[in-house]
Amino acid sequence: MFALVLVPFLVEAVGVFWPAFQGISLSFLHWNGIGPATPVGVKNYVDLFSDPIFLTALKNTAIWIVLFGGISFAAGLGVALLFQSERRGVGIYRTALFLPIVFSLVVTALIWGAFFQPNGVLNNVLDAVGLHSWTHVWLGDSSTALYAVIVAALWREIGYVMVLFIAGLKALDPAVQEAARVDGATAWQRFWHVTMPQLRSVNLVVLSVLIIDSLRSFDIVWAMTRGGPYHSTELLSTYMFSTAFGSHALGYASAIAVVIFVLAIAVIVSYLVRALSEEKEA
Amino acid sequence: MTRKTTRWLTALGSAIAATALLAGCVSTSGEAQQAKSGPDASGPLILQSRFTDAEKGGLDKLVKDFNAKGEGQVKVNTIPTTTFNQQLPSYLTAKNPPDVYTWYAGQATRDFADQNLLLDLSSVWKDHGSDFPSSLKSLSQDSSGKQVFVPTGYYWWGVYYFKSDFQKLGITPPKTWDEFLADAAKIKGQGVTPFTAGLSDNAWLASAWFDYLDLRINGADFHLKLLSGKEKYDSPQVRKVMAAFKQVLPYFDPAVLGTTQNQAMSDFSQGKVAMYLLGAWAQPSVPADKQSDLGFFQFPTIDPSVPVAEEGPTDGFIASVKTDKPNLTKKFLDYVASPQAQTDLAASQQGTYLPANSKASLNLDALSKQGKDMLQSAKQVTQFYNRDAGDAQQTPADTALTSFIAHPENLDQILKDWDAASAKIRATS
Amino acid sequence: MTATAAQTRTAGARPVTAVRRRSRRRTAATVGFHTTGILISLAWFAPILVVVVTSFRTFDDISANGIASLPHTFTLGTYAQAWNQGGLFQALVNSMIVTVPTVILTLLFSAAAAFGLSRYKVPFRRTILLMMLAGNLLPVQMLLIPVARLTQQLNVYDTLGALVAVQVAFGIGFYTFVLYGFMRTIPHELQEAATLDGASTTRIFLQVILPLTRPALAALGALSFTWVFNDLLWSITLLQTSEKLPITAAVLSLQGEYVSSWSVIAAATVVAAVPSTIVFLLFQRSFIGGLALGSVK
Repeated sequence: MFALVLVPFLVEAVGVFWPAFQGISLSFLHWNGIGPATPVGVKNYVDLFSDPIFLTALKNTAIWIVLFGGISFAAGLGVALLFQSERRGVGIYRTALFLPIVFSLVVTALIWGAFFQPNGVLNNVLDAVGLHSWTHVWLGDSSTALYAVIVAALWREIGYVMVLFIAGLKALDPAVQEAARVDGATAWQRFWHVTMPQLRSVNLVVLSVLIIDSLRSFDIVWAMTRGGPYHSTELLSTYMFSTAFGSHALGYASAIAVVIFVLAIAVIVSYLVRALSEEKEA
Repeated sequence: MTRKTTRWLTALGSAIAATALLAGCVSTSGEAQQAKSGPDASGPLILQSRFTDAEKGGLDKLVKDFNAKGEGQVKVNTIPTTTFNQQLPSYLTAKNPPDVYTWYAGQATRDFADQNLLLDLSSVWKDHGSDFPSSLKSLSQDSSGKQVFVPTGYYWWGVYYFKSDFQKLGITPPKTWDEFLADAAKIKGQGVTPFTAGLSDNAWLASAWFDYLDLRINGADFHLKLLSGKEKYDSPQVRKVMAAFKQVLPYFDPAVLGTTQNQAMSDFSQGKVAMYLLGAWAQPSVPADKQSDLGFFQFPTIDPSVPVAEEGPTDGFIASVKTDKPNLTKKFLDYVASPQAQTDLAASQQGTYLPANSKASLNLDALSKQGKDMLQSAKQVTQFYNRDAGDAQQTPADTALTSFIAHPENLDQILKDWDAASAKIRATS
Repeated sequence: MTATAAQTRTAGARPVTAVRRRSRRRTAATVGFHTTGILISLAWFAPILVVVVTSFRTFDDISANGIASLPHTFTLGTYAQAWNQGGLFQALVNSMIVTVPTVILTLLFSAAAAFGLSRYKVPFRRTILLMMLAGNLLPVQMLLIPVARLTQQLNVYDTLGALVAVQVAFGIGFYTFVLYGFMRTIPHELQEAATLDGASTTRIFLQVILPLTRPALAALGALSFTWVFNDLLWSITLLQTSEKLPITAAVLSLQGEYVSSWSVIAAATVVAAVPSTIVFLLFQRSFIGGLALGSVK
């Protein structure tokens, strides 16, 4: 019986935990990947917090979590509410929203890049409706680049969140909804006072997944801007990648990775402890 | 189990984990780097290639011809280029690394040579050394003077334009900096953008401008010293370079920082942009019907007293010192250095590649001939920013140059930051 | 008219107008629903449509006119080129060889672990669960080199089997966590009844719990398939021989260092997206039903 748990745990221990220890120990070294490594104690961490690029990446990651996470959550919930019932055509709508996840990033990044070009689709549309003052060099302007990339990332994430929420909504008791409607509650009241409380655990799952995905967001940013222009779209994940494989400073990159990990743990642990202690009561 | 036993077990587990931690550290140091002596192991020679599918035709022919000679078998692994660049350190430090690799010359190779990861190829150079220009010989050496690189070819950089567009605009290719700026002003006055670059996803293109301005103003010696960290960016020489760059900035597409390479090339091909500082590799991305209209001129001289230097990035092969087939490796690289092989490799590059072996038979079109003459008449040949300075230095350069393009008034801070970032990378890698 | 008669008349009138009003509202609602749905779907599908359209254009068309322009040409040659030049067939086979066993093994292990943790009083239950999930929170890039070293030391470097093992190890944490949540909702009585009948743990697991978890397993199967199929980093870190590379790397190899034929790459991307799309469509219904029971307490 213990084998049921022990075997998978051991598999994860060997495949994940052991390399993780090594990864963490790398953060106490200076290593370029080809020569011998030099132990430097906590110097990497000290350097991190005086590194302006790291601090920019930290700030950008915070913005990313709030915007990317927040909008994914709200929009995902919105389309989930819209497409939750099994009526005609809803399968097509759901598939359209989920398809971005299945398509490789290299090409979709190219398309989004074209969308944001100075003479690309977005600026042309803005010009056509007379909003010329709103046109920007989206990917070249440090004040807009991050938000442009967030739009592309949202395009991929909202479908995934939608699916999670539809799953949650399907498990709700329709009788409670009906009772509220008969009582004369408006749609908004029903949503806020009946649906949302019932979705509490789903909300927590989705929020955790979004935090994890935000911290892991790398591909779309790298493909579109490589963290530029001059680090205005640099996230912790892209900075870690560029220090590891661009600057060949693997120890420093590992330190950044540890910071990401600690941030993720800090957020998730609070949720997990709460969820698991709820179960103890259940 | 009692609580106490549990706690003991946990402590024990942690101790084991700690040991594992220390044991894990050991794997970062490389294994013994001694070249193997004695007969070769059996099995084919593994060649890790970064050629894309479009370019690998020549390499395939080369390998086929070598395999047919009967001296041994070579197997090619074609790896996506970005993957190859990232993984090369891992390949070279693996337990059983591939034997031969396509790579490029400069600091990029010296980095590996300094860690004793590369096979000594002096014997190949002894046999064929006379076929190669002497500049290539010194380029292929590591810091101790032995050759570790077999060059196969190089290409050129130039300011590209379309001949019919220039005719329409009434421009002839400029030779000096003043003519260059005057031409740009004339072009801009007619409503055409003089310059662009795909900096939003290829920020390193800005380094081409930096390199050439530095070569023309300060000369190749200073340039190479700067890139290897012996000179500072916050110096009067570099300030002169940035001042010249500032002169040309008004003639760039104002949205250059947000333009993708794809967009920039199509703007150039459509005539919306008149000139583009590019390497020869860009020639195939011009539509077929405009290829014959394409031309380039040498980057104009700024200071006539500075000897003319050109960028001629050189590609070639390196070998791992840990190969268990050193004899076959050398035989293969011997073949690679031969005129026949060099011709084959160059032939598949659509006229953008000049073979390194001067005895290779050449079928040069007009542009290749112009490129070859330009490089041969140059007093010194450098490799390009990332190949001379090391790949790790490219990121601070991109940051500095794009910041400058956006805010040239921040020059002081930009140069200070560049020095700091560059030094930091040198220290940590 | 008396008040009662007036009341009766209005009482009779309400149903008719109310019904007409409700059905008009319903039609309006349906029209509104489908309009919104179509608009959203179009907006979402637009980039993918551009990818598909791009895959039918020639190289010269794109280099002359840019990606975002209307197509000037139509060709199927890009698909042929992608298939042959990119070695897509071998790459697709490799991707399937890696993805299918990974999904099966991951779900098997996760279900077993979730079963053990949810049904039995395993000591340190919370810690184990937390640790397993924590494994999924680690940035993958940090682990690439240590894992590569590990596979080299074990002499399984550059094998598809090692890739499967690593992907399984990485998936276990998250899926155990979700399945754990689901299995908690299965009533204990079923298990007690089976134990009374003399069934062993394995039998309970295989014949009672697994069938009840099937919707969740289908859901996670589709998700896991998509993630593993689209993985790039692990494959390029652990594989060295080009014949073993999966489809994601094959699509990447069509990209030149400086110049890329975007239409060929788009064609390859479309081909690469087909298996995951099929899996998603197949599992869609059970996908949605399954995850539901896992998240709500």
